[in-house]
Amino acid sequence: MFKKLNPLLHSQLRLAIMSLLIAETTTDFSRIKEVTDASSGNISVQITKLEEAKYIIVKKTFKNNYPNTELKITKTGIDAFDEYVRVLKEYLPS
Amino acid sequence: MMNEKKLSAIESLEIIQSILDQTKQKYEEKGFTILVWGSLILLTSVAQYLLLTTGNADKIGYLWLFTVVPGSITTFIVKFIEGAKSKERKQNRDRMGFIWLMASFMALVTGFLLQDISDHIFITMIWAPFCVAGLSTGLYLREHLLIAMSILAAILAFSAVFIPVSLQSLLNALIALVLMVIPGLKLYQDFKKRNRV
Repeated sequence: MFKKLNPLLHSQLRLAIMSLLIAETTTDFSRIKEVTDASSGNISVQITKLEEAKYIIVKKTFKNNYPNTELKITKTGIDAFDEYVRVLKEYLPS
Repeated sequence: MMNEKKLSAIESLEIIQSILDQTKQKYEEKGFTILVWGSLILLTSVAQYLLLTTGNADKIGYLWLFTVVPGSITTFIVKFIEGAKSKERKQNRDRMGFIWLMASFMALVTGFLLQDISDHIFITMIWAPFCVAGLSTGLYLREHLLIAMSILAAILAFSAVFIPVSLQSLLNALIALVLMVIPGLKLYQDFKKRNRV
């Protein structure tokens, strides 16, 4: 019997954001937009969900007079991603 | 464009792979700059050896100018193109670029400070920061070739202590080949493959 995949990570955009954070540890809103090509509204919604789950820490600052949203992955986020990948492997044909 | 939809396991894996590839690509692009600098250092070192063996040591200073000028121009052009590509980004996080920049700065400072101290330790001190930069890049990209080449380059750099001064230019060329030309070529080829250039 397969374990259930974490529903919070089993979403296209949230998974992409978490993958980016796994690779770069910290990132910002514009980088997510560049990599995912998703709309700003959609990215904001998914960031809020990940933040509520304590998978990421969001810091809003100003850079060159522009609002800048910085994201950092947490230990909880890294563990959740590792677990997600581990369970995902069970679903894949060997 | 990414939207919300139900994912299969394969699709999930593809997303993770695609994002990791994109972050990797950012660093593979730097292979060209590393390749250019490595080739210039290699050629200059060989030319330096030839000048030394033919009794023209007084022209060596000019020789290194031919490395620094074209290398700096290439770096500037590459940075300019990178900047134009990412002009919409307000922030450019580039840890690997920063590590290589710091290595260059340390090598420059070391070059000025140690040039009159000892010829034996000179190559070791110049290359040590670049070996660290190469190893960091290899570990980050999980590229076994880069890791192995960085370790080999570090061994070669430390072996300079035991090698006669007359052969150190050739050792310099060998380190440039191992630490910069081969990894630079590998990164650049990977970048071209990924972009199907």
